[in-house]
Amino acid sequence: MKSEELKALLPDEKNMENIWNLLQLNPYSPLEESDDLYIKALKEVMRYHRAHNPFYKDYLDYYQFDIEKINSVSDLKDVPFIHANFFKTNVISTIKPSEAALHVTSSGTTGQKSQHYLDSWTSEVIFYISDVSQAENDFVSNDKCNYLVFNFEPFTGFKTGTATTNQKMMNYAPAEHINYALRYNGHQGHDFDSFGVIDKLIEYQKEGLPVRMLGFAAFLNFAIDQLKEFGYNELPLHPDSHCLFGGGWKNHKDKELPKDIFYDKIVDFFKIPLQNIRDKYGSVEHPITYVECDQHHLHIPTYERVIVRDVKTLEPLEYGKAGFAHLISPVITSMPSHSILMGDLIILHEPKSCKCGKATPWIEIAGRAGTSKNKSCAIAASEMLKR
Amino acid sequence: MRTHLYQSEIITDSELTERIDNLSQVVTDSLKYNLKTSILLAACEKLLESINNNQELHFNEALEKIGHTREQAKQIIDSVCNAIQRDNILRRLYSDLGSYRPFDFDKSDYSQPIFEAWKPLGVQVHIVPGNAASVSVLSLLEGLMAGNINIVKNTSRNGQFAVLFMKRLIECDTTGILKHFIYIFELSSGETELIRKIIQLADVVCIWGGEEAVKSISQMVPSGVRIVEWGHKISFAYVTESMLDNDEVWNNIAEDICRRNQQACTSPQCVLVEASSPERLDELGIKLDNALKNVAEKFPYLEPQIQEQAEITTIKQMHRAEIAQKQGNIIESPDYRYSILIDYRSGLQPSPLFRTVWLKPIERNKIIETLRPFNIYLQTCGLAVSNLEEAYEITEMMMKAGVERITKAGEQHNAYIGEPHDGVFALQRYTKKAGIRFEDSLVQNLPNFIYLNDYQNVNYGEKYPVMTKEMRQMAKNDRAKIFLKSGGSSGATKISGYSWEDWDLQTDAMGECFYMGGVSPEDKCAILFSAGNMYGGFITTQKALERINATSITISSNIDTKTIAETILLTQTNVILGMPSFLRKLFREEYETLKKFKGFEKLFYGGELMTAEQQQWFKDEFGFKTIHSPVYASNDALINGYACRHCSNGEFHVPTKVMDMEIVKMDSDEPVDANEAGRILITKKSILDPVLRRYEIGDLGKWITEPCLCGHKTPKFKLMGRHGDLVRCGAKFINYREIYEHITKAYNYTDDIQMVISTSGTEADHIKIKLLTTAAGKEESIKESLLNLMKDLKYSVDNRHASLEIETTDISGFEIAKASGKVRPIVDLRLNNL
Repeated sequence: MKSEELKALLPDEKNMENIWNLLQLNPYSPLEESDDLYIKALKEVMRYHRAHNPFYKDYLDYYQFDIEKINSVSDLKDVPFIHANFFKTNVISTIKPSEAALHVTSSGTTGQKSQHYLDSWTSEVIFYISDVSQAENDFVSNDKCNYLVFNFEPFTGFKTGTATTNQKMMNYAPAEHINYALRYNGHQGHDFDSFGVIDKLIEYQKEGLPVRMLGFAAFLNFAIDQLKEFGYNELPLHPDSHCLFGGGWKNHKDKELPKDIFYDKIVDFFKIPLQNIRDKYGSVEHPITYVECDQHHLHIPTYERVIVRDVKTLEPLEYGKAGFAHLISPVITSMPSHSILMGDLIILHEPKSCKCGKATPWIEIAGRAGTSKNKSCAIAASEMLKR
Repeated sequence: MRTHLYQSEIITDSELTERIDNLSQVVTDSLKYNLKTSILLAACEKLLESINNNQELHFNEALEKIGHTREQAKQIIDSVCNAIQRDNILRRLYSDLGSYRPFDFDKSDYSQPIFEAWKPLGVQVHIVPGNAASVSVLSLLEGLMAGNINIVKNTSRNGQFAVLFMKRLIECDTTGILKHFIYIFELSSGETELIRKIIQLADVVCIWGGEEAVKSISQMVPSGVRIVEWGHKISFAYVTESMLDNDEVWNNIAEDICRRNQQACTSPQCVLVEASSPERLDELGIKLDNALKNVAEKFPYLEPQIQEQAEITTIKQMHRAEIAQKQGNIIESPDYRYSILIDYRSGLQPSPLFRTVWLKPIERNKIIETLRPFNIYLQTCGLAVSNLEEAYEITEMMMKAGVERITKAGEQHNAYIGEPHDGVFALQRYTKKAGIRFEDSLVQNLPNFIYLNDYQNVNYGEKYPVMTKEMRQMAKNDRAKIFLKSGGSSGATKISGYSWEDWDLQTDAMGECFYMGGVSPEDKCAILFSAGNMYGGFITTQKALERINATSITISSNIDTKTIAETILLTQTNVILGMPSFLRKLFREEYETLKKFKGFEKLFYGGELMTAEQQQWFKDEFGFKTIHSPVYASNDALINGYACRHCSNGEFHVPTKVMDMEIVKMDSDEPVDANEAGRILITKKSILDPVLRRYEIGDLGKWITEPCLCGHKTPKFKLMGRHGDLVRCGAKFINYREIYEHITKAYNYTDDIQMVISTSGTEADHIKIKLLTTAAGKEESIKESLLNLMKDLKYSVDNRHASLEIETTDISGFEIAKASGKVRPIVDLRLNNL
């Protein structure tokens, strides 16, 4: 999408000039250079939500928060946030469902399926951010490649955030063949096609083009294990092949391998360079993509600020301490998730501390709230399966 | 390094796979062993003693190593010690399986050849949670109580406690059988192949933990194998409108919240109140806040780990978004140690624990629909009600909604021994109820298979001293609820007390013994024992007849003989039960009346002996077909022996169901040699009473080693008289019983015999044998034959250590015991002259 076309999608273009200007910056330009612009942009989006979302107005009133009192990034710690889970159990759009350009369902890491209505601006700008970030990470190529997508095969009426993202990801290099690991089974569901995946990998290897593997890491791991059982100790692919994961291990958490072990396993098996294997971070609720750099660090894009908060007091923590991720970005207009408290526990690392040379701080995922195994016989809120 | 317990051996990972691979063969072989409750009880008792003597401090260390404080470690060990106490194990068996001996096939209806028993399922696999060190031990103990071979999948987070504890328990078992029933393997949940192999061996798998654990393990369990889930549960408090302003109620609820930091399934996670307006709910939140302020410090706080804390904050943050929409409120303690989440909407909701509690409205008539969505998780309701009507109404609805347990608010954590667990009795889930039926003739007069169990004679001599009559009288029994007086034939009145539990056990055995001795459900029985006055004879017989389901005609010997005889005729009894001296008097005095009655069939006597001649008289004159003394019992020990129908007069089996017996030498506490008479020592298998151990009952006996025709494996013995029958006089032991038996046999004499010993002069003792006048004229003959028969007596008389006299007199010439009215067999006048 061309720049002016995207700009035209801004829901309130004349009052969102700063948002637009912020987006014109390099995704990894030093945060301090954009602080003033960022604050102006944030106030724009907050005013917008306050004006168009009665829930958000009540929420700000409950916290007795005045948008106009935000003057600098040091005030960010006072900006009210809504917990990500709240969006999973409530539909609190700033737009009317009838105005939605995109309707997606969260794929449900914790069992819930939630509904999200995206306006045309948000649904496009998140891809814009993804595109510029991927470009900065050398993921764009003009060479033809074969895709193996470890995600849901699309069908008419299918609405899952991560699946949509994967469609867009295939724009970064022209496709020869596209195949899916989670095949549509004809009755509104998907099954993992382990034999199909193996066949395709072997075919792709023979074909010799670079291969791009996208989607849920767990299923690639299954595929490698399955190939090994069939006697393949390795399956060398074209050295320009890539893996770009997203969506975590989902409901295969118990089989999750530590990242470094998993990446080594891929390197050993497919003989592709370690720096070509990347994960990313993002969520349907707050769809700003963080892409791993060649050091496998998740850098904050300049369009975002992150505060790590103490899990008990919610007070901001310094660099290096684990706590809740409070993410704040002025670009999201479809729902008031521009300031959101994630269920993830993260550690924030100082800007310019990464060897890759990107100037923004980076985050390290340190766990999720409520995922510890319960030690008592009392059922905890986090573990009751939905009946 | 990981260690595992393989029977009594501690093994390491290097052997683990091989041992597990071979386990199938090993456990199949082990199934031939019987883990009797007595084995478990003895080992537990020994270990408990050692723990109490501070000899097992490595248990504490093992618990401290995995992060428990010294105090917590002690608490865990205390809770395990409580579980392994003898009476608690027995009460568990009784509550869960309905009997202290649930594993012996029992005939519940004596008119049918049907037997039922609980039997172990075989191999029990336990999947225990991490960080709950006591669960692995307690779950394994339950498996042992059920008699199963136990394989525990333990986790590293539980440390070494279970392995060390069970190793010591095995070492405390002197039979060497217990070890075949215990395996503990420390496996991570990722070791699915090993876990799968273990589960393949299982007849029952019990899984402790959340739904995820249950789900993943259940998938490995072959279909048909019983799965027992001890899943996570939710509990809550409920306050009726009438109790909302009662401060004590709020304090109680606050205590339930804080006492175990909501880590237990019994902890309230939600307080449901019969109130509706937001203002009122906020007000109640303040009441709960005040109560929590009061009690929070009283109980140690458990610090959540970061992810748990994150969960708490997440829920609170979520709730704040609801509050912004005027759907609730929140009260947090300034130190973040507790939070009250007030929700104006009804419903039940699990909390993130660690003193985080929901306060929600509920309408009484909507209890069922409100709670029903959670029915599989519901456990305890702590209920605050003001009257019985409310209590009844709410209880009924709670049960319909799925609640398993209701307590007073503030007592949600209190449990009682034998309380059902999550709505069931655990031991029933670990066992099977078997029913068997045979040809009637094959099992006639057999009440229970225990009499067929192999039995080894015991010797407690190495460990315990003999308990004398004096020690028995001194021993205190705090749990005694029924007191009996012994007849007093052997001296001053004595009182013995029993708990109802032990009384029931003993009288139940007595019922079985009457049945084995020939009383049947069709019999119409006149009880002619002395009633009241703290006597045991009447009431124990009454209980025994009830057990047999025979007809009981409760006459007693307390009334005049004429009335008794008339009642017998009126009720047409075919069976007479009583004491020989009284029965002889009754049948003599009412001879004409009773002679006319042609319905007598069986006579069962007890309390005294009855000679063959006396028995013949009853048969010849009154038509009795069977005369038998079915039990050997005493008021100071209850049942001590039973006579099957193949036992001769004076012969009994040991009722090993309720006791062990030793026979020791006259002059030392060593076991007697073959065919040697000695002193009988009784050891009772008590439930609550202090164990009566090696009690010298005062009777003499000898073992009969020939197998009995009845087929019972219980030891058989013959009573050889009272220990007191042996009187030291004339420098020798003179046995009254020997004199008695000779006179009754050789002279066809059926009445009383009294031996009076006095000092006639300066040196010699005088032995006077008093007989009723029916023996008149035979005095000299009797004297001569006694001297010929009894070498010791002859020696004493020949050497003038003693003189012997036979006297015939009417009954007034006899000395009678005041308490019982019985003729005292031995009167030692020398004692009065001391």
